[in-house]
Amino acid sequence: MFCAWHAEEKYCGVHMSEKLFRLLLHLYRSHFRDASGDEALQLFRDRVRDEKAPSAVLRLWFDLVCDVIVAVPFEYFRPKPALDVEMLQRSSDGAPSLFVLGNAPPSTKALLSGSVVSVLALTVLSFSPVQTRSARHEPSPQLKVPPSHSAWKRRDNSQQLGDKKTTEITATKTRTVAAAERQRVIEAVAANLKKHYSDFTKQIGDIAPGSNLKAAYRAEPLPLQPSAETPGQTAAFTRIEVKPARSTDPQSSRVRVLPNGYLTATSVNVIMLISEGYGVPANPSGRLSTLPSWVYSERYDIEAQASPTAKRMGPSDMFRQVLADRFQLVMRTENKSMSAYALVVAQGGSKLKQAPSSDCIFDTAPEGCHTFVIGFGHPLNARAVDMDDLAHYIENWTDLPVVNRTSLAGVFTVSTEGWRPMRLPPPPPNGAGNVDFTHLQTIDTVLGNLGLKLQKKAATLPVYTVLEIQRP
Amino acid sequence: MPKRKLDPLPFTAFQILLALAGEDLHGYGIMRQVAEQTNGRIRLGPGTLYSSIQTLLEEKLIEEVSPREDAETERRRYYRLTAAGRNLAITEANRLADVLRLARRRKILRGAHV
Repeated sequence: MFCAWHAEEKYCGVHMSEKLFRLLLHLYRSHFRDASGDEALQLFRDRVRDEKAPSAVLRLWFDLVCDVIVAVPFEYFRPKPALDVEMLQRSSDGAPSLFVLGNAPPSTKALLSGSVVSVLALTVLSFSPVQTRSARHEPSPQLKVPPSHSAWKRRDNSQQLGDKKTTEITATKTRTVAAAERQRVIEAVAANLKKHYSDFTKQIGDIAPGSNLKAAYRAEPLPLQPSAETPGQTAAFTRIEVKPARSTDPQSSRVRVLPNGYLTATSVNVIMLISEGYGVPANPSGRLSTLPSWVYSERYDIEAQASPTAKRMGPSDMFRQVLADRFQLVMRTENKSMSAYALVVAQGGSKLKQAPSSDCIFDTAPEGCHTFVIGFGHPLNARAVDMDDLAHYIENWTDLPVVNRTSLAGVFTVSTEGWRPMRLPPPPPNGAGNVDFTHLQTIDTVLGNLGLKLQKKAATLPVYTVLEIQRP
Repeated sequence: MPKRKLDPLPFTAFQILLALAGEDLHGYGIMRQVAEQTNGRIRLGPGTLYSSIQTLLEEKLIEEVSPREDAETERRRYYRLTAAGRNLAITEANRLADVLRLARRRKILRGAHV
């Protein structure tokens, strides 16, 4: 280290340093040395060239030792590249052995041998008198039942390769159902439908009273279910990507829906999607059935792009579509009469401050639209929310559902103190214990300051039962 | 769903992506750029640097490019940020900006909004 770079290397400090560094490099795995050893050496040389002051040299070696301590264990835990594995077995006595070539190209001899064997095999097969059943397109005598719709649907979204293969094999075999068996299956299905779904029209009437909708028999075959969908693609979306969240910190959670139909959600749990999609409280309530715990605890990053040709969807429609497509959500909806609070304008009129709505997109960032900033006692702090947002938000802590009956249009800026909840949701696991809200004002006082109030009334509201939900 | 190697994005990998956001660089250039952008607090050693580079290459967040015409005559490997790498860097920067906003809102950090 005390002689010039181009001096006689044999007795030069630089040479000695380099030799020492080469020894250090041997602590790394061989594939690291193969892939990056030369570059690492070059980097070392660069630093030796540029950092000649004694303090800089000390710093260099300190950095290198620290790097070895940190990086070497990491390298050993790092998975090897796909083909860069050790030879499995070497032949010592001339017997055939199996080993992986890695990046080495196959030899000419191996290519020639392979070609000859392939040509011989093809020749033998071409002159074989035996023909396979599939070659003559004969139907199999085995009964094949078409896969259910849910099986087809799951095929696109299953994460397990084994499941996929099984479903695809089943689907391929369904082409060969014998005519008699086919008729028998159709009749059995028709009888089943007739037995269990005879009150279709009545059910439709219950869900949509006054709509005059009826279920009718149709002689012509119905159009097939869309089968050209690929994973992550539906008619409504050109792309849906759902991944486990990179950050599970609830404070990094954010959901945005841009006007061009681009939905992006970071560290979002499924209950939030359900809450926004179906207009139900995220806290447990009588309007939504019990859900598995992972719906609350597991967080995901989601990106979805609405199809430009599809009918324009609002945020709630998009959330529902993502839930149905990627979380296999099947929801039963029943309209029920129940006691509720109507959010109305108090005597004296509204005291709400109108917010500029020019750039108001659905965004749960603290300064976003249609969202409230979290605080102690869930104060009503928001840059721009409409009255539906307000009713939806306070319903998380009221003892009855809340419906907006204010007839106030537009978005408003609100800023209030926290308020005493009418009901407490179950505490989260490992929560900080009971929190004292008794010193806070009531929701009636908080709303009164905004020129609003709650009126207890009977209302017919949708109640949701989750029939099926799966991890993506 | 298989977990990606860079999920979450390590600090070192993010610094390398930031270093390459300006121009194509070789390994030593990346090391110097990272040292500069962190005010000398981080000097990547060869093991950490090339291990991170290898992971970023495998994830196609950076790619190797031919050296610039004005580059030094020594044979070096230059790296460039891919579109996917740039998007990931933007996402990570936005995430950190959100954290900063929150810290300022909670009066933990003072200063102008990001």
